[in-house]
Amino acid sequence: MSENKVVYLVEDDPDIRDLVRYLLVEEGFTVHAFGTVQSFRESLLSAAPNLFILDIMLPDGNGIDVSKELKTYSNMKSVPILLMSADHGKVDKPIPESANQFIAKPFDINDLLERVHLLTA
Amino acid sequence: MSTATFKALFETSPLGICMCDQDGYIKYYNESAANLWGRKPDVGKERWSGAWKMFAVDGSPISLDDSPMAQCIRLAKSFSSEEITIQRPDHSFCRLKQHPQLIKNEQGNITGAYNTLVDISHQNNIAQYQSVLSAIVESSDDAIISKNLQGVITSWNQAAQKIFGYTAEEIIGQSINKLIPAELHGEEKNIIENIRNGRKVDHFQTIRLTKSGKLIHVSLTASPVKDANGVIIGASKIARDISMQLQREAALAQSAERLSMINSIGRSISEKLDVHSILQNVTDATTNITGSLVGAFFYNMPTEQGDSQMLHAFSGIAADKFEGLKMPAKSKDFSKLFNATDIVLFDDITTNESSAKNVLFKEMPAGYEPVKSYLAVPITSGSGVVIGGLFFAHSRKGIFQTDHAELIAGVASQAAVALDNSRLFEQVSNLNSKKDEFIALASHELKTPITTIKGYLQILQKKEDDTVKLLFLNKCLTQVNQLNKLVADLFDISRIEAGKLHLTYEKFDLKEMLNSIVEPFYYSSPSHKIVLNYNTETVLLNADKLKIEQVITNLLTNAIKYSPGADKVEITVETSGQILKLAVKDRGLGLSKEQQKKIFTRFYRVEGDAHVTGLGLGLYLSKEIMDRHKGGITVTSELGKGSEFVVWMPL
Repeated sequence: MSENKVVYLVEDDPDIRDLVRYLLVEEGFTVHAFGTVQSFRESLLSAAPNLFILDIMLPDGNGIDVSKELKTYSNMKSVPILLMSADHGKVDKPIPESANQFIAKPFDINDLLERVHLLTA
Repeated sequence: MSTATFKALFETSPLGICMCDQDGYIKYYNESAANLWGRKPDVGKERWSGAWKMFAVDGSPISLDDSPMAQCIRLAKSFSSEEITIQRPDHSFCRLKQHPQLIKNEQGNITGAYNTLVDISHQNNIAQYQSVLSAIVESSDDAIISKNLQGVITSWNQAAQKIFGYTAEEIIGQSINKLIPAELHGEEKNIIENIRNGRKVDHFQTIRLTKSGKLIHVSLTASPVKDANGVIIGASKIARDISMQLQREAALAQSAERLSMINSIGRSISEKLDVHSILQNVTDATTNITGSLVGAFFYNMPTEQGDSQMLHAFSGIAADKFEGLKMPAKSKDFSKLFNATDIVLFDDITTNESSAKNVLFKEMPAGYEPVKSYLAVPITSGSGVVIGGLFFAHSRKGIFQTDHAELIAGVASQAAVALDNSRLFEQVSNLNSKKDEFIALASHELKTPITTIKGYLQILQKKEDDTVKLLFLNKCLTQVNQLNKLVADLFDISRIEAGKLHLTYEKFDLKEMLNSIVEPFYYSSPSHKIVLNYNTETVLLNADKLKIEQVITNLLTNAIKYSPGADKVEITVETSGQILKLAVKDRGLGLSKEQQKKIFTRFYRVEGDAHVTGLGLGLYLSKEIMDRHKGGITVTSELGKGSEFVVWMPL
């Protein structure tokens, strides 16, 4: 069980956002989900979460850029980041240092959960 | 002097001497006369001459009674230098000069006559020979000149007069240096030197000077002339005017050069597919060939939007200066520059003000003489519309000939074709990249709904206990996965085309991978048994794990799909040397030779089987992946018997 572990999720597709939120809440995580980079920034609290899950293609930004930026905040830089991407190709490339893991869409929900547990352990 | 002395004189004289009395009977003749006559006439019996037969100079026969001797007595007159020809009994001829003289006694009565016979056959032959030689020299087309060792001209034939302009009277006695340009006088010294040493100078190409001051190209041959004692007394020179020959040779060389230029232009045009290179190459080459000072190429290129754009290229002097000058901006201006679709050629536009109104180059940049020669060649499209033109200008007049114009027209039509091709090629390229962009975008978009469907189905799957509902959910998930695979394949294709397929290398155990690949097939295709064979204990591979998995899965899926009647598929892994080989063998439908050639191409699916699913991208992608790993895929197959696909790569 993962009591009080906090996950921030940024994903623009509402169905996928709901899907991931549902899965994580079922596992006991507290999930803050956003559809845009803007709303994510506005709501980001100073307390560091246990995990960021970021979609790469966002309407007002790029998941990779956001992850790079997060690493520059002293209170956030040790927080693991999981990048999600529908773009096959990005998964082929080496993972940028700013992220800890990549997961490709469409994902297997078991695979996703396994990684989340691993990163928030 | 005594009579005996005179007698001896007569006897031994080299001249033929004979005497006759007043009636013509031969009284005496000497040995020389007998030699000349070729016979010894009977003294006192024969009259006038010992000759067997006699002829006049013109060949008409003379009877002995009309011989010079007879005429002398009859006419009571002495003659000299009467030329006749006698024929000897051996049928040979002899040309003689006769000097019949009257003999008179103290009373002045004619008592006879005596004749002196001079053999001039030899002289005559020489004379004949000389006149033949003379005729040869006079009728020759080559100048034949003779000079002495001091270089003074001693003979001059008709042809020499024709070539050099001097008459024989004017030039004989003058130095041969008159014919030689000042800077080449050294040549004469050289020639004389050779002649003095008995050496001939053969076919020496040089330049000589005519009376009118014109310089001409000649080929000289000089030979020593010797006197009767073999002493070199001068030279005979034959000079051939080779200007025509040189001109012809130059023209041939120029034609050959032009042909090879056209060839290379043609080749370079057809190799190039970008419009600007074609324009510049053609302009440069044609400006060069025509010897123009400036050349320009204007081409009305149709654009995608449906209108057109004027492209141009300049060549020659100050090409950059022309960039600024006012040039035709629209295609309708072109029709003014040409007479319909004809070539426009002016030797001198300044003398033809009215027709030269529509000339493109009216002014040259500063520092150059105004335009005189002008050539404009239209470029017409396949439909006959003037779509551009090549323009050339020069400050000197008469530079361009009709054969230039034809040459350029030939190049122009090739250029038109090349330009068309380049346009088509650009179109195709554009379409191709648009298609690839579209595929990439589409497959990206498709992943979003697939993610949602798969995610929720999996959630339902987890929560469902009912067997039937679970079965249905499983079926849905299988299909979603299949759908995903198709989209992924499409996506891969577009990335291969764009050259963006990346490999992430990692070390992994091939055996482990095979086991994990094969396991699901146990459930999904229970009809087939998959047998794994290895020739080594472990196989460690350094490759893109995901992609290799993709390849093996693809081959295995195909093996099962295309062997519906069989029950076994064999996978054999072999390492030999530094190469890994993995063979997937089935006992299924097999492939014909034709099919074997085509299966690795895009979107290819084996015909005849409507139940077969998939886009036909599997093998194409697999081949691409293996190629990228510096390996490959091969197939051996027999129709009806089965197929074996072997993937290989370096370890």
